[in-house]
Amino acid sequence: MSLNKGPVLGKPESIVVILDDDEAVRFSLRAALRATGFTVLAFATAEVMLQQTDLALPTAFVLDFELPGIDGIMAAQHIRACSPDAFIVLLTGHEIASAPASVDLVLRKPFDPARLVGLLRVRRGL
Amino acid sequence: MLMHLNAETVVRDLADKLPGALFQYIVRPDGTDGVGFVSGGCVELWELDAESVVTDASLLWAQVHPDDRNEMMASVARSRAELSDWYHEWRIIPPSGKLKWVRGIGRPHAMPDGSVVWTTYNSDITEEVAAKLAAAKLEHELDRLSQADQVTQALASVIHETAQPLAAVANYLFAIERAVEALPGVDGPDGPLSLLERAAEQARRVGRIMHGLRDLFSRTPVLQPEPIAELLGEAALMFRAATPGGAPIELDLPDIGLVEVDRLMMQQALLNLLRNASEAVAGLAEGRITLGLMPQPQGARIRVIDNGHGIAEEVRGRIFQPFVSGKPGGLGMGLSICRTIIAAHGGELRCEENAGGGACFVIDLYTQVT
Repeated sequence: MSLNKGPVLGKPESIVVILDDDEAVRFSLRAALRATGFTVLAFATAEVMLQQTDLALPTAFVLDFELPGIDGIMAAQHIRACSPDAFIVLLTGHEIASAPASVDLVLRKPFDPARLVGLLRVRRGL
Repeated sequence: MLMHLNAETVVRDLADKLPGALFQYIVRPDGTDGVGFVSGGCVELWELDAESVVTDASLLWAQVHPDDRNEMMASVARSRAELSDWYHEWRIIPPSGKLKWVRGIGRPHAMPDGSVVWTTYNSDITEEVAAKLAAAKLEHELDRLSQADQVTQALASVIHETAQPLAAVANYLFAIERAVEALPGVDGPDGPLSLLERAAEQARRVGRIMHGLRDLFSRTPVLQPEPIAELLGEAALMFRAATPGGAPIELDLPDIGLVEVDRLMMQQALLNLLRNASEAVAGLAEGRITLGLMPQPQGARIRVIDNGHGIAEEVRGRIFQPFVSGKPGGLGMGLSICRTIIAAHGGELRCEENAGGGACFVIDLYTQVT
């Protein structure tokens, strides 16, 4: 399989993609998810993520809402088109009126990483 | 043949038509004063007939509001000394007891015997002053609102900017905790694992505060039927857990069924009111807080009562405005948040005097009870 168009990475059911342009959030979330056994791919822009990832393979995507260029909601629509079953979480710093259809869960920053991990684990078990 | 009226008759006739009082006022060289001619308007303005005024000018001085008397006397003395036109505004309390604002204008004339005589006109400007005060008050309110709006916007952007690093801190702590829990000898109440968990709890706490603030500015309530008695009991428990050791909270929460509220927002409002009540009774030996619920014909009434120091009369009317606080050092945000929340529910929050001293905050909800 070729997820990253590079080396084979872990078990496909435990792959989580992080998309956040804030380096601290991206780096720390990657550390938190890796610490609980997930294989993590992290990107700063949706453009690079779409270019380098086979969207059908990861089980979950954690997307920042506000991004330069393609934003989190547009990215979620791309992902949903390729992967109807992926668990898509949208992170927001601002208030949004309601969760867009292509997103499973909206988490407001700051969020509790334990809660996110719990949800991802439940999802992985499905 | 055309008959002519004499000038004095013309002046008297015209003067009697004026809404205020036209009169002559004299100050003699020895400082004694008196009133010469006075127009009919004196009855409406001073509630005195012309004869009384002419007989005893001190009746007019007696009506001058005590706080305005010195300035009033000074203005007349200045006009007398400089023979300058007189202009003054002051308050009077006429026999009816109804306070009036009066404006006086006059021109002094020096008499050969050393007296000074003014032709002067006094008019009732109570309504004009009231309108000015109302306008000034309105302007003040608008200022305050715009100030509140600016603070709101600044706060929203601070929250947004702080959310990212705080999220990162929480994530790092979580990652470190996972790494540390695999090591030997990290357990125990003061062990690294416990310390990390405490740090993580503080990060979550800041997060809750930020979400609470954000809710305040942007959220519209999502109304769901909730067991209101249970919700109130929970709020009291949460408050006690968060601030242990305070005054006891007496619960009077009969089960009145389901009421449509936004659970989180309602709890936020209740926590604010409980915090205020708790601060009001802090340090009192017999401090007591009551959280009560009662059904209403259309909805429910919630009351948060304390037997603390109460709310000062002069603050009570404004206590729900942003940046008005009844507490020294208070930000003045809490009650404004509460009222915003209750208003968003279509309800009403008000402050009443508690019969036994202290404050009583009443929430009336007019939502469906099932």
